[in-house]
Amino acid sequence: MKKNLLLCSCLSLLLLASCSKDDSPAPSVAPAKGVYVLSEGMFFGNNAKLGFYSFNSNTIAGDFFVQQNPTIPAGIGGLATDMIIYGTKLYVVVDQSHKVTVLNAANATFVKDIAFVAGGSPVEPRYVTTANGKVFVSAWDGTVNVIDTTTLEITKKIPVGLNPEGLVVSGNNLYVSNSGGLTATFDSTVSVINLGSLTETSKIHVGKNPTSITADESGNIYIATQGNYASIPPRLVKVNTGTNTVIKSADTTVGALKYYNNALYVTGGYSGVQQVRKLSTTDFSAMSTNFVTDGTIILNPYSINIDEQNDDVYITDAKNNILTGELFCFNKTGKKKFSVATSPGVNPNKVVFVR
Amino acid sequence: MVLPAQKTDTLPAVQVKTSTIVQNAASPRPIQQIDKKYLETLNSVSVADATKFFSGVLLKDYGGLGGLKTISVRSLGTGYTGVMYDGVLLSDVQAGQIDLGKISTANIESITLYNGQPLSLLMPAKAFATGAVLNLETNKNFDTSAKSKWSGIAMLKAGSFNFFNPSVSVQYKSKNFTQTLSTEWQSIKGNYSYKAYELDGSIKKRNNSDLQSLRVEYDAGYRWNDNNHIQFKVYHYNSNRGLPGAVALYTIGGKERLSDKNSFVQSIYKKNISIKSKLMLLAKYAHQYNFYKDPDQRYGPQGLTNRFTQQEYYFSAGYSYKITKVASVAYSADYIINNLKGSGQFATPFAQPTRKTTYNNILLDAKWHRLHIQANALHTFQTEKVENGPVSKNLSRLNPSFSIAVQPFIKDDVHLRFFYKNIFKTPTFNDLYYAYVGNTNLKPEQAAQYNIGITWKGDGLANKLSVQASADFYITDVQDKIVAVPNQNLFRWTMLNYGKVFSKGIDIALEANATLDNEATIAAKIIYGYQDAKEADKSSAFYGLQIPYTPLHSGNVQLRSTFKRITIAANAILSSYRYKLGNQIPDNLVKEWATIDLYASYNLKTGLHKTKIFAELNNVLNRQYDIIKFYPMPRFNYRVGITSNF
Repeated sequence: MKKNLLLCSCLSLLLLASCSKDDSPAPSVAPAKGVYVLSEGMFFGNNAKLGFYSFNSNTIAGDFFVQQNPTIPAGIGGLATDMIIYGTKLYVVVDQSHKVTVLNAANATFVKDIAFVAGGSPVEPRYVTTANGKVFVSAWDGTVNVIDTTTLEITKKIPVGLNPEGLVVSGNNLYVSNSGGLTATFDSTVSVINLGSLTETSKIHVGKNPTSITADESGNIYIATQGNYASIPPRLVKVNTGTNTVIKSADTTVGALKYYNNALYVTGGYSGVQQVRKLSTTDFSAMSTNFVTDGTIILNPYSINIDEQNDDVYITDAKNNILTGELFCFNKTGKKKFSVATSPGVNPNKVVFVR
Repeated sequence: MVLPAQKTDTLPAVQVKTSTIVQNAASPRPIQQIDKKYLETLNSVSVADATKFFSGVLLKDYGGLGGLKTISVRSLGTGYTGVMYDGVLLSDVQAGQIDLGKISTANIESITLYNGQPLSLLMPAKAFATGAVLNLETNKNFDTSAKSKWSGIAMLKAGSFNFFNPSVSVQYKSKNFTQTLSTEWQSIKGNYSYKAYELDGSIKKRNNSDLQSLRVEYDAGYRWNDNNHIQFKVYHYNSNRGLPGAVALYTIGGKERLSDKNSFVQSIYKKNISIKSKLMLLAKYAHQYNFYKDPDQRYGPQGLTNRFTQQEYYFSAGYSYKITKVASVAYSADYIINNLKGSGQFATPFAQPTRKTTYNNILLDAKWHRLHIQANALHTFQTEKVENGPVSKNLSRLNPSFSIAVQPFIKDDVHLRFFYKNIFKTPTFNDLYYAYVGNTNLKPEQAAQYNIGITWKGDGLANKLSVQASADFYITDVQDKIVAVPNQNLFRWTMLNYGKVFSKGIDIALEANATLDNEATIAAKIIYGYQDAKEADKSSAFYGLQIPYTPLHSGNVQLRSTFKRITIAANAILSSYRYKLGNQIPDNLVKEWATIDLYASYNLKTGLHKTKIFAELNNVLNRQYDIIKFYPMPRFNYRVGITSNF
C-alpha cells in the first residue's frame, strides 16, 4: 500500500503538470465581471473547488459551486484539472471523478455531468478546448472526446496516443500532446486532428513526455516536454504546423505554458525556476527572467491566464501543494493589482473570465 | 504474576494465565499484554484489531479485512515498532512497516507491547533497535491428557460479507519433542456498505475488497533437558486481495490487485551453560514476494504491474552472565542481510539494493531490593550496495537507553518508573530507491523517548477484588522525519528529512477484577490516551499544529464477565477528530468516531475436549466512520464460530 501511495505521488507529478490553451481570440471583448478560479484539490482529496472572484465586490466566494448548488453539498468532485467557458456553458474537467461537469457560465448552476467511461471502466478526462461548436476533452484512455454542445453528449472518441494531456487549436487542426506519462517508455508525439473529419491525420515527433501546449497566430505551436525524469531532460519545442516539423528546441523546464502577444509566458514546473518567465517565441531567450517586477513572491506558480480585454495576467500559486492557494492578478508590466486566497481551494490551476 | 519476558527465557513452562491485559507494575518500562483467552473476547481476526486496545497505540486501518493495518506507538510513526514473531523480528525493508492485518490471531497465545524494548536479558540485538516492540507468541503448548500424545484445536468462523475462516492446529508431544502444525484459511468478499460521501443519503458498496489467504505454520521443539532446548519454525502465508483504494466522488473504485507469498524458516537454540551463564543462537531465512497489478487502461493494454522480492538472512548470538546476586550483563550480536529485487513499470531499472546490518548490544541489569535498573548501548553498522544508480551512505550509530523502577514504600504496591531511549529509524528501500521519488541522500530519522510513570496495585474484599492503575507521562522528540515533499526547487516530489515532531502524551489505565464466587467473575478496564503531537520545525508551514492522523484524545472501555459456561464482553473504542494533513481546513478533517463491539460465548463441553460456540457483533451502533479519510470502515457486522479441542 505504501508502494501505491508512492506511486500515487509519482502520478500526481504528472497530474500536476498544468496546461493552458489559447481561447479563440474574439474581435472585441467585453470587460470581465469577474473570474472563476478552479482549484484541483489534493490527489484523492475529493476537494476540487470552483471559486468566483467578483470585480463588483472585489471579494471571492471560495466554494462558489456549493454556494450556487446547495443540493450538491459534497462539491464538484476530485481533482479538477481544467475548465473553459464556451457559449453559455462552463465545462469543468474532473479527473478523479471521471466526468466533465457542465454548468451555466453565468451563475455556475449545475446543468449536467458527462461521465467518462470506456469498456465499462471509468476513464480520467484531462484537458479541454473548443472549436466549431464542439468541446474537445483529452482522456487517459488515449482518446480525444468530442462533446456536442447542444446535446451535451460525447459524440465521438478519437483515438490518439498514450495519456494525452494538453490540446490546442491552430488553423483547421486540433493538436494534442501524447505524454505516455503513465507508461514505462512514455510517448513522444503530438497528434494532429482534422477539425473537419474529426480524425487523427498524423503524429508529430516532439520529444519524450509532451504535456502543455499553446499556439500563436502564425501557425506555430509550442510544447513543453518533460523528458523521462532521468537521461532525457525537459525541453521547450516549437513546431511549424505548415510542415509539421520541429523548428526550435531548447533544454528548459516548463510547467504551464501560454502564448500571448508575441511572447511565451512559462512557469518552471517541478524542477525548473520558481519565477514566471517571459520568453521570445523565436529563440526562447528570456525577454524577462521574472515577469513579476514589483517584488511579489509567488511560491509555486501553477497556471498563467491572461485577460485579453485589458492584458492583465492572472497567476495561480499552489504554495506547497497542501496549503490553500492564492490568486494573483498583475498588469502587463508585472505589477500586482490584487491577490486573494483561494481558500478552501487547494492547488488553483485555472482562471476563466466571466463577461 | 509472570513477566511475559521471562516466558520466552524459560520455555516451555506452563504459565498461569491472567485473563486480562497485564499492566506490569514493577517493570521499568510500560508493558501491556493480551493473552489468548482475553484476545478471544476482543473480536479480533488479525493482530491489528487487538492492538487498538493498547494505550498509546494508533492503528492506521484502511478498512476491511484486506486493508493495510499498521501501528504507530506514541506518535513516533509507523516503522518504529518492531514486530517479533516467536522470538525473531519480522522485517519489511521495502516498506519499513509490518501489515498487522496479515497476522491472524487464530494461533496466537499472547500479544505484548513493550515501550522501548522487552525486559528479557537474552534477546537478539535488533530487539533493542526500535521504539517499541510488539511481541507475538504462537500457541505451542496444547492441553493434553497423559494418555494421548496427540491433541488439536479446530475452529470455524463465518460472518458478514461472506467471511469464511476455518483453522486447525495439531500437536504431537512426546517427552522431549513437541511438534505443532497449524493451518488457516481466510476468505471474504468484503463488499460492505457505507454511507455515500456524496452526502445524498444513499448507501454504496465497497467493491474489489475481497481477500483470500492461507497460512501454514510448523513448529518443532526439542529439549535435551531443562538447560538445553532448540525451537524450529517454518511459516508460510499466501494471499490475494483487491485494493479498493480511496473512494472518489461520483464514480466507482479501481481494480488494483495485490498478491503476497511470505515464507520464513527460523531456529533458536538456548543453553543454560551454568546457573550464571546462558547462551542463545538464532538463524532465520525469509523470502517475501508481492505482485501488484492495476489493469486500468491508462497504463496501456497490459496495465501496470510490479513484482518485488525480498530476502533476509539473519544470524544472532547472545550471552548473558549473572555477575553478582544483584547485577547481570548480556551481550548480543546480529548480522542481517536484506535484499530487494523489483521489476515492473516503475521499477525498471531498479536499484536492486542489498543491505548488510550488524547490531551489537550490551545490556546491564541490576535488581537490588526494591530497585530495578536497566541500561543498554546498541551499536548499528549498515552498508548498502545497489546494481543501478546511486547508493546510500554507510551508517554507524551508537544508541543508548536507560530505565529504572523503584518501589518507594515496602508496604504499598506502588512503583515509580522512568525510561529514556534514543533510537533511529533507517530509511526504507522505498524511501531510498523508489522510482522518481526515492532519495539516497536521506539520513535516518532520530527519535528520543522519555517516560515517567506510576503504577499501583491493590486488593480488597478478602482478595475477591483486585485493582490496578497506571499513569505514564511521556515525551517523544522525532528529528529528521522522512516525508515526501513536493518542492519547486527540488527534483519533483522527493523523500526528504524534513519534519520534526515533538509530542507530549499521557497514557492512563485503570483495571478492576472481581471474583464474585467460584463461578462468576467480572472485569473492567478503562484506557485513556492523550497525544499532543506537534510539527516542531519552525520553517514548516504547519509549525505548531497537530500532526496528521493523530487524535488528541483516544481511549477504550473493556468489560467482561464470566458466569459458569458463559462469557460476555463489551468493548468500546473512542477517538477524537484528526486532520489528514497539516493544513487544518474542513476538507482535511477526519471526524471523531466511536464503536461498540459485543462478544458472547458458551462452553458446550468443558475439560480436555472443550467445545465452545461464540458470536461477535461489531460496530453495533452501525456508525459510519473513517480512520483514513475516504477509506470507509465497515458498519454493523457479525461473526459466529465454534472452536473445539480434540
